[in-house]
Amino acid sequence: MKRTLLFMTIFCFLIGFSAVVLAQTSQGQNLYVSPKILDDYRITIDGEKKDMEKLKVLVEESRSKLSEYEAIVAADRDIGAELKKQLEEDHERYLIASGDAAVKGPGVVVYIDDGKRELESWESPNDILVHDQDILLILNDLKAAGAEAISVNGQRIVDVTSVSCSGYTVRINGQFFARPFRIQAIGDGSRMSAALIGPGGYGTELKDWGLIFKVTVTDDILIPAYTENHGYRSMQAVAQ
Amino acid sequence: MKNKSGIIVIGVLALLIGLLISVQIGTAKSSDVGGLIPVSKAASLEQELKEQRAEKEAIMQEYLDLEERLKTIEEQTSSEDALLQSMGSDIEKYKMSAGVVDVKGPGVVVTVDDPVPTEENPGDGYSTIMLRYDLLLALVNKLKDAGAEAISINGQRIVTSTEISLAGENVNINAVPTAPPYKIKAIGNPDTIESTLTIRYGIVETMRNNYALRVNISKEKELTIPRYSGVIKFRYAKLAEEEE
Repeated sequence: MKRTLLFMTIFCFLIGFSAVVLAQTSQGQNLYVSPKILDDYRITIDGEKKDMEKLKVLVEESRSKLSEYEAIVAADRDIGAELKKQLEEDHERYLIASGDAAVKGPGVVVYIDDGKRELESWESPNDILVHDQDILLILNDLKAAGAEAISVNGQRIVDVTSVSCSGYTVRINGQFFARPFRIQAIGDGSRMSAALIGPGGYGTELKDWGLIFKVTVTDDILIPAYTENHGYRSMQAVAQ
Repeated sequence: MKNKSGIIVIGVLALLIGLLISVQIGTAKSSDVGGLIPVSKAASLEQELKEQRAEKEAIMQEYLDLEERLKTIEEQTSSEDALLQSMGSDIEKYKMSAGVVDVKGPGVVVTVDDPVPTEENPGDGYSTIMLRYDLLLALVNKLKDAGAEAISINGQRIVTSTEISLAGENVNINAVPTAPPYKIKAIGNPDTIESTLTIRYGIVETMRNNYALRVNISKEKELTIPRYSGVIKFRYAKLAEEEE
């Protein structure tokens, strides 16, 4: 009897011990993960590498600027002229990027309207109407194809612009617009139009649904400035 | 008789332990069986990711130092020139709107992850949120609608030119490949943003109910969002007023 008890105790210890060891090696996670998790890690690592490449370009740009300045200072020449040139360059590109000024250039004009065809009995009117998500996807495709400035029905698209459906109208930058929609984008016209109307392009998809979708490549597009105020209530720059 | 029952108990226990050990060894060795991989492999990738991020951090710091030195020179030179000075302060303002400044403020952090793998839907090989990246697009749009002033997804700042596109098997944001879990940060009024997202039949409910995505929203008193990591350059767009 006593011997059995002793053995029981020892084995209980052993089982408890192995459970602890098991729990420790798994560190509260599953011991095994699916291959997808590893793929996700690899993609994220690739992403960080890509991001680092971009940062290196930034560093290179600043470094050459700095050495230029230092060369001027070392040669005891007037740095004012060089500085003015640099500031003017920065002024122009960040002004365009902020959307606070009208811009012009070559690009595409996209025209989208609700479908005019009769509905089949199983369809709903939604199938041939333009939705906010359609506009979002087209804007996204244009951006992916390198659009530098975009407007929808005359509203400049900036970083905080949302395109929201509100009943029969779409709200952009706090203003309401109804169909048809006219999207202008400055950039490489042939690349942007190919992205939209090529096979698998979103424009082709909309046409297949029976919506009206036209793309025109043109040399002369004028996109107005963002009309709202860039007032920031919540965010502030991080002091270096 | 009593001794025998003890032996039976021991025998059963020994069998169990033996089974336990063999199961453990078996699953650890056959990593390809059932498509499962030991967590240690994932841990080494996690370590690599950490190193990569630290390296990126160092480059970012180098950039900030260079910018600081440039700024000192610019300020010294333009201190007597009112025109250069006003140009400099305008640039700072435009840079803020262009998204090339690190910013901080109150807001929300939304995490979106793929559905928990189940027997019927093990989720091998494909990711729901990557295939339906338009949900990310819709989510970002809702954040902007709720008044978000700055947004980032997995460290990529959303600027005017930011695309979210399926390129091959990756979802590219600012031409940088990204993968789940997606961590979306937005600076703005936390309450407004949270209630906009969680409205009934809204974007978060759609993601959870229709796609079984794991979505979590947390309000933060302060969060920081990094700058756009690319160089801003325009090849086609020109200022329109220049000809006047």
